[in-house]
Amino acid sequence: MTSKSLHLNNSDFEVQNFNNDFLLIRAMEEGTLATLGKLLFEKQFDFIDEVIVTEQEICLKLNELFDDQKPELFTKLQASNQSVTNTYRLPIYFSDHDDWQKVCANTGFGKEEIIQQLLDTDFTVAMFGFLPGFIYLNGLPSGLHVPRKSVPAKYVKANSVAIGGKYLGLYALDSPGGWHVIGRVPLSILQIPQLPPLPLNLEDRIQCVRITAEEYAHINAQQLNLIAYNA
Amino acid sequence: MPSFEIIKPGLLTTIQDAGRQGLAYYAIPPSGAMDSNAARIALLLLNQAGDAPLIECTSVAPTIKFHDATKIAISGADFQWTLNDAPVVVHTVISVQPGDTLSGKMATNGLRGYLAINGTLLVDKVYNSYATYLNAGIGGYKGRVLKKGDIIEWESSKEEGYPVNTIPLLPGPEFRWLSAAAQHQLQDITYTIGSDSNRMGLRLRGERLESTSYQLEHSLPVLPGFVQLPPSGLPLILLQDGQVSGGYPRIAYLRERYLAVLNQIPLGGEVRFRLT
Repeated sequence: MTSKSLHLNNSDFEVQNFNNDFLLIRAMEEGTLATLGKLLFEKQFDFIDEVIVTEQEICLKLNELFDDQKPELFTKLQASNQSVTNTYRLPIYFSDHDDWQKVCANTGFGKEEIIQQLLDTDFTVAMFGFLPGFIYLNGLPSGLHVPRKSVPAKYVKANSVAIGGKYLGLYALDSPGGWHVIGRVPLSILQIPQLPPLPLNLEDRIQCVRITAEEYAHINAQQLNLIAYNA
Repeated sequence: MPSFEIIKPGLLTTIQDAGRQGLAYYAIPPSGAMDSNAARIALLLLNQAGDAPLIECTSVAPTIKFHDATKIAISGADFQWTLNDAPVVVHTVISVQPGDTLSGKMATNGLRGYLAINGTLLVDKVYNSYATYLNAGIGGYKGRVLKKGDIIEWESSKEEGYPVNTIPLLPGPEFRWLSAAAQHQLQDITYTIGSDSNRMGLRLRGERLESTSYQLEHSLPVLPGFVQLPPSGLPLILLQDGQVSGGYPRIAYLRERYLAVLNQIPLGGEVRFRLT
């Protein structure tokens, strides 16, 4: 593994090269990584096979066209205009999932206290990742941070809301998962085969809304998506 | 260095590879395997890189004596190949022993065949290619067709001598989180592939690995082939349907070609790792 620094768009980045197999890029300053990640993805460099952008790190999967001089090309990327951010209400039925025990034990709060804190929080879409449609939300009060499970659960139901470390997350697909499930959303976030496969943008705001089991069933029956629900 | 010897040259036997691209500007033709698909098949059977050198035979097969043991793969036209007079099958991996002689007859059902060796042929690389370009006398073995008495050496691949189920690993971003003992242990443990593995990931059963932490502060990018270490201390290997980000330390990764090998080990089968 080799490491060097890169200056672009008035920001400093650290680039680590893992044997020309992949690069990891970290920002020296907060909030500059997502912009760089978008530029790298949209530029479609021939020596990059995959771009994965997370809050703290960008991963670029390289192919045989890559060489050590290529990262210099990144310094020529120009940022375009920022996109607008929207606010969406996310209806959650806070179910009696077994994971609540761990969440309560870990935070020292009761279920009602935790729910109230979630409803009082303005969440922000921090990143997409994990599996198609999965959303990482920033803003979880530090008192509600819960470490991921020792052994990931084999099955988490689609549209489950869960806590993982410092994030609140939404699973859009049935999948294994290491986060603690606290509720369910009666909407599907995915819009496959469109690209992007979900209607949200980074930095969009999310407001949690508490719904009852009856409301869950009612909304679920209408087969709404997030946009239609918020219209 | 291990080697083989040309006993009979055949009609037009040369060293070729994927060819030298992008030099037509300088009036240099690409050369390379005349049947690139067949050449690629022979290389793939031995898990060799697509641009590795190999032998191209034309119309009449050569007779080749191996001075050292290796594995070979033959593809392309049917030359009715035999190893020490016993028929050998094309499109499989064949083990050869020192002194073994490979020979064939006229090509039937095609014109050109390929012989790949599990190792890197020590031949000339000119303009970034091993391909023999006869008109200019460059590349391959002295830029010419192979003749009786030619001895060609090869360098054994690093994998040689390791059991099939030993997979090479490279240190991942959080490799240093492993204790010094665990960094060694990773190579000593014989893991069993858990029956709860699927196309997303492979769960390993075996001894627990000690790490300074089993949680990343943030969810960070992961690719197929990345090895994660959850708090159970038992590694997970992400596969073709794997997630793109995760919160467990990424202690190691394996390259795509070895992912192919790993993915053929049945559930309950054993696997070992070797750091490279």
